[in-house]
Formats: sequence, structure tokens, C-alpha cells
Amino acid sequence: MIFNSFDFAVFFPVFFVLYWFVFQKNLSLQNILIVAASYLFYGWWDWRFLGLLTLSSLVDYVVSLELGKRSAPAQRKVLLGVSIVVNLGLLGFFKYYNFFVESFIDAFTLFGAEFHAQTLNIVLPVGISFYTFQTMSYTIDVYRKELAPTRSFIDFSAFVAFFPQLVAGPIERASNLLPQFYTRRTFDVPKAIDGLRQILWGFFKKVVIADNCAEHANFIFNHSEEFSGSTLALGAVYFAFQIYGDFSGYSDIAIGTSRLLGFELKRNFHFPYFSRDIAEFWRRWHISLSTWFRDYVYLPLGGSRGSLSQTVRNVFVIFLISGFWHGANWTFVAWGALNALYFLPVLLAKSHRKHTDGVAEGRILPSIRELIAMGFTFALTCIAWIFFRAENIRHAWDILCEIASPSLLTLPRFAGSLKGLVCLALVVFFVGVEWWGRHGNFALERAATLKSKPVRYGLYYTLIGMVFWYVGKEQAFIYFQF
Amino acid sequence: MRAFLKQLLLFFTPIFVLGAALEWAVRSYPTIMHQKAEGVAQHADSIEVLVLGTSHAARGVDPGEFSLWTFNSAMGSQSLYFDIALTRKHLDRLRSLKYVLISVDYHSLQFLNEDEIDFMYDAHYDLQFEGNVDFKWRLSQLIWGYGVKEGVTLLFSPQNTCERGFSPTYDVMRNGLIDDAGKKRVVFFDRCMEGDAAYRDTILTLLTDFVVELKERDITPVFVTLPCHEVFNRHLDSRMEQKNRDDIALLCSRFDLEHLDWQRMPLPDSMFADQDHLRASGAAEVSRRLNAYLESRDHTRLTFAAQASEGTATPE
Repeated sequence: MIFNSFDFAVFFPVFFVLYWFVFQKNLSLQNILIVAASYLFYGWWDWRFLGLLTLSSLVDYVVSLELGKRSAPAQRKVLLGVSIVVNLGLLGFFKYYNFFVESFIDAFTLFGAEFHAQTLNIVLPVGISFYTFQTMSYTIDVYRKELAPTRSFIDFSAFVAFFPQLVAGPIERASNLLPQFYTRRTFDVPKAIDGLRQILWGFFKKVVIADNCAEHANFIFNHSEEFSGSTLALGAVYFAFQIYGDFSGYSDIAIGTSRLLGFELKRNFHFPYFSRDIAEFWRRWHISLSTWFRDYVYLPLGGSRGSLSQTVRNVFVIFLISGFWHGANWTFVAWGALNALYFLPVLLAKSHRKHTDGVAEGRILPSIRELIAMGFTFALTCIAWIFFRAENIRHAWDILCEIASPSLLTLPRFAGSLKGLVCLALVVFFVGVEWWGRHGNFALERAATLKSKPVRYGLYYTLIGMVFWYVGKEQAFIYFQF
Repeated sequence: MRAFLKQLLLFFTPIFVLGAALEWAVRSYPTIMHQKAEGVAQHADSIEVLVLGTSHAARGVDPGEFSLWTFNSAMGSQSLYFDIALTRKHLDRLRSLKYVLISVDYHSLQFLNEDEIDFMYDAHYDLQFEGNVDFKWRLSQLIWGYGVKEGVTLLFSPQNTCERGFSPTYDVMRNGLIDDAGKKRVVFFDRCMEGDAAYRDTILTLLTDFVVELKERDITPVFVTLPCHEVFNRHLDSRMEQKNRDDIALLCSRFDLEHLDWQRMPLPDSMFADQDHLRASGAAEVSRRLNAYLESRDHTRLTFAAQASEGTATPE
């Protein structure tokens, strides 16, 4: 089930009524309802993969309970190993089996040897990368004794399968989300209204921005050989807004929906395209994944505290893994490597913490310096997105070569078409609203501060009108494939 | 909670009201299909010639040029499945019907439906593709049928009207007769056919049963392939064309029918609206020839089927 579907529009109100009016007085029943609804939500796509979700939950529940009982380091390491092997084994099989087989065949062929292995027709379970990382973080936290294991399998299942963020995040930490299943939720009107505001902004990002940009980005990337450097550069910009609108839109809807149910999820995006350097970008983009890798991979490897070579290694490790997490394709690995190359100079110059404040604090417009810094960071990001979106490395390279050619200085093909102009106008409007609301948790949060009711409601109705105007085909979210 | 729900209801009321008004407006908007559906029902007693087919026939056959009372039921992307279904729906009431002109295009025998417009058949003809109904269409044509953007645009567009099912509104050459446009169009049809390749036998069976039914009622089906421009024709897969001709020829010989294969009929460029559609002037010219054929049919039996299989058939 996806948020922008008719099915969800029926499912959620029914769930909401049951949740607040029927089961509100009994916390256990309310949590059972969450599990049942979450399994329905997930099973709507393909019920066969519910077994996988249950298995993942069961393994980490049992392992963590055992970890809570045992103190011998060797035993604890074995238990942690079981969890990691099972989780990464499932993820590896479903997501990477074919990739590794094909890569081995390619490698052997390259050296003149013959290697025969069969690829399998494997369906990638939606959201497997998200819930796998979520359950793993729980077990690791219990192993580190940073978290007490839960005794309730229902609460744990609800934490793993919580439907608003099950298939595309934010990847929640047990320390934040799990305790919220232990205590009774109360309905908070301002919080719920804010949640609705965030849901509206999420839908706007997805339906109006991402889906419109997708149309142009897909066309340009799918026919890249026909276009000039300027059109290809525009295609990369369209894709940058497509992926941001799509993914952060999903996060906004997930967070907003959770707030309607009395839950607080972690922020996943913090206006990343207003970043002034790449380090700031990575503190603002897909925060739940970046911090996951920071806490469970980068810091255990030593972070930036070791020698220069260790620091370089660690940076490359997290960015390569992060790229690989996105999909079984060398393009994602290249995207990760490129980001590592961007990040490394900033880290080595120790300027990675230079921009921890908000951009243009206390001012309406950014300074020229900030504008250049933001533009440069955005350009770097767009170059990396070309690898992310391209069919293969060769495709990305061809696009980059064309962009680097004199044809970059020609007029882009879509500049004159009405559809292209409308899409650009929508992006400009979107960036404007994001800039206006950049100091909040999400851009539209600032609308609450508008004193004039007609202006405030006018803005809401305009956004709703735009969402309905463009809604039609139920476009899946990009990050479902990850 | 009550205050919240009340506030929510108040907030969404204008949206519901506006949505309901737009829904009503879209449902009552007289689209071309709406007019065609009403036209068939309204003129059931008078119709002597019924034209079926896709946009080729919808734009290419002008009922005003026929001496027999003709109605054009063809529609853009209308597959033989719906051609047959909508004729069957009215067959008992079409008491004067003598001829059914079945337009068979390059892709007709391997094309089942276009899910983008299936809701319109459900709405206007009460016909469902293989009985499938998406209840969302019925709930809101605005959202799940047309889409809000298309639906509202439709309401504010100049209204198209049709006379006996024929609308000359497409009389504008938008793309010109460009080779690339012709090629792209053929690629589009090839993709349609590729997707429905497994259903060719099903479609032929449907067509055969339909022909039998018409013959039993003393109605004569006539297969027609309407003219397309050379920029389109040159990209067609000749093997597929021959396969189509063979299958239609088989039906013709089995039921003593004729196939007017006018795909490559030489017509001046000025008669084409684009690579595979005629303008009103082209439609008038082709319709006059069709009329002449129907008038002379009872006097002289031309052997079009044999000529059609060679691709040399002309009506004169």
C-alpha cells in the first residue's frame, strides 16, 4: 500500500477511528492493532513477504532477550553474530545475490576464464533495507548495553513493522521509537494539526514536485544520447528535485501520520539543498541512514580519530556501503565513492563542522558567499545524482562528457516548452517555500505562524488544489526499491 | 478530539463541495464518446450503416457522405473488443442495420484495450473490458477516470460536437507529415501489439463469432483498412501486414465477405491531418468511395479480397 493511493485513503481513516475510539483505553490492544494494521499495510503489496518481516522480528527479539540474560562476552558476540548473519543474509540474498553472481561472471570473463553460475528470479521485498537496519540497530544497542531488551513481542513487532515508516523510513532507533509503545499515547490537537500540515507538505513534494520532475528527468535520462549538455544538466537538476521531493515527501508523510497517532519520529531531511558544503549536506540528507552508518560503522572503525589513512579508509567505507545499500548496481557504488571524494577534503581540512548553524540566520536572503557555497554544493550533488540515476557507469560517464562539452552553453531543449517551464516554475515555488520555512522541522511548519487566517488557509487550499491537480496515477516512491 | 474532527470537517467541506461540483460537471460533460453513446441509442431505428474502429475510422469516415443512414461509432483507441461489445449491446434495437463497416488497422488484431479510457466505456456504454470494473472509476470519474488535471481542463476546453458520430475537430495538422512522427507512431503500435500478442487468437475468435452473429441477422460486415500516409506506411512491418491480410482474407473467404484494403490508397497530402489520420476533406473523399462501394455492392460483386491480399485494391 502506498500513501498516495486510494487504498491508503480508506485504510488510514478506518485505522484512525479504531485506534483512537475503540482501542484507546487498552495499550496492549492498541499495539496489537498497530501490528495487525502494519502487516495488512505491508501484505497489501505481497503477503508472502510477511514471513520475512516476522522472521526478522522474531530473530532479533529472541537474540536480544538472550543478550539481556547473558554476560559472557563470547556468548554475547555469538548472539550478535547470529542476528547480523540472519539479517544481512536475508538482505544479501534478496537484494544482492544476482549482483554478486553477475559481477563474478563478469570478472572471470574479463580474465579470460569461464565461470558458470545461475542468477535467480528474485523479487526484492519492499522496504527490506529499512526494517533490516532498524532491527539490527536494536540488537546492537542491546549488545552494547545501551538499551534494555523488551519482553513484549507485540511491542517489538510494532516497532519493526510500524506502518508509517516501514517501507521507506525514517530508519528509527529503538531508543527513540520502542519506548513510545510502552506508554499510553494521548491525542494532542496542536501536534495532530502540525502532523496534517507535514502530511500536506509531503504530498506536495511527492505529487507536485517529484512526479512532475520525474517525467522530465526520465525522458532526458532515457534519451540522453539525443540531448545537449545543457539539457542533460537540466535533467540532473530535475532528478535532484525528483529524488528529494519523493524521498523527503515520504518521510514527511510518515512523520506526519505518526504524529496523528501520537508518535514522534526522527527528522530525516533538513533542507539539504541549502547546504553550504558537502559535510553539511550529509548532516541534512537521509539523516536516519547517515547517523546509522556513523554510529554502527564509522565510529566503531575509529571515525576520524586514527591516522590519515585510517580516516580515509573509514570515510570510503561508509560512503561505499551507503551507496551499496541503495541498490545492487555499480552506479550506486560510484555515487558513494564520489561523495566520499567530495567529503574527504572537507574532513581533512577539519572544516566539516564549519556550518552547523542555519543558513542566513536572521536574514531573509542569503549572502552572496552563502549563495555561491549553496550553488556549488548543489552542483556537486547533481553530478553525483547522475551516477545514481544512470543505467550504468558508461551511461553516467557519457552524460558527464556531454555536460562538459560546449553544448552546455546552448539553450536547454525544455526551456521553451510549456510543460518544462511549468515544472521549473513549480520547482522555483517549492524552493521558495522551503527557504521561507527553512528554520522549522519542515517548510510548511512556518505556515502556523501566519497571523492572517485567510492567507494561511489560502496557502493550504492552494497546496491541496495543486496536489489534487496532479494526482492521478499512483506513482510508487523511488525509495521503495531500496 | 471532537474539536479536532469538527475543525477537520469544516476545513475539508469546501474541498468536498468543490470536488462534488466538478465531479457532477465532468459526468454530465458531453464528451465525444458521450455523444456517440447517446447517438447510437437515439438513432437505433434509423441506422443502416454502423462504422466501427479506432481513431483512423473515427476521423476518416464521414457519415454525411453516405446515402444510407450512417453512424460513426469508432473512437480513438477503441479495440475490436469494444467495437463488438457496443454493437452487440444495441443489436436488437438496430432494426434497419444493413452494413457494419469494421475498420481493421495495422494493430487491430493484436490490441485488446486501452486501460486509460476503459472507464469511459463503463460510464457511457455500461461495458466493461472482460467484465472488470474498477469501482474507483464509479466513485469518481474526476479523480480516477480522467484525473483532476485532465478532467478540469476538459470542462474548460471548447466543446467538441459530432454529427452522427463524426467530429471534424481534428482538422488541424499538428505535427506535419514527418517521417520521424510516422516512425514513432508505428513503434507505438508495435508496442501495443507486442503487449497483446498472446490475445490474437482470442480477438480473431471474437471477430469470427461477431461476423456469424451479424450474418445470422442478415447484416453484412465489411472490413475496411483506411488510408494512412506514406511517412507512416513505410515503417510498417510488412510481415505483420501480410499476417493481418491473411487472417482477414480467411474470414472473408469463409463468410463471403470483402476487405477494402485502402491502407496505401494514393491521396494528396492535403487530405491527411497527420501520418495516420485523415482530415475532414480526406474523410469526405474516402467516405464517398465507401458509399459508392455500398451502393454498387448489390449490382456488381467486386473481388476485393483477392486484390486486397496483394495490396492493390482500389474502389473504382
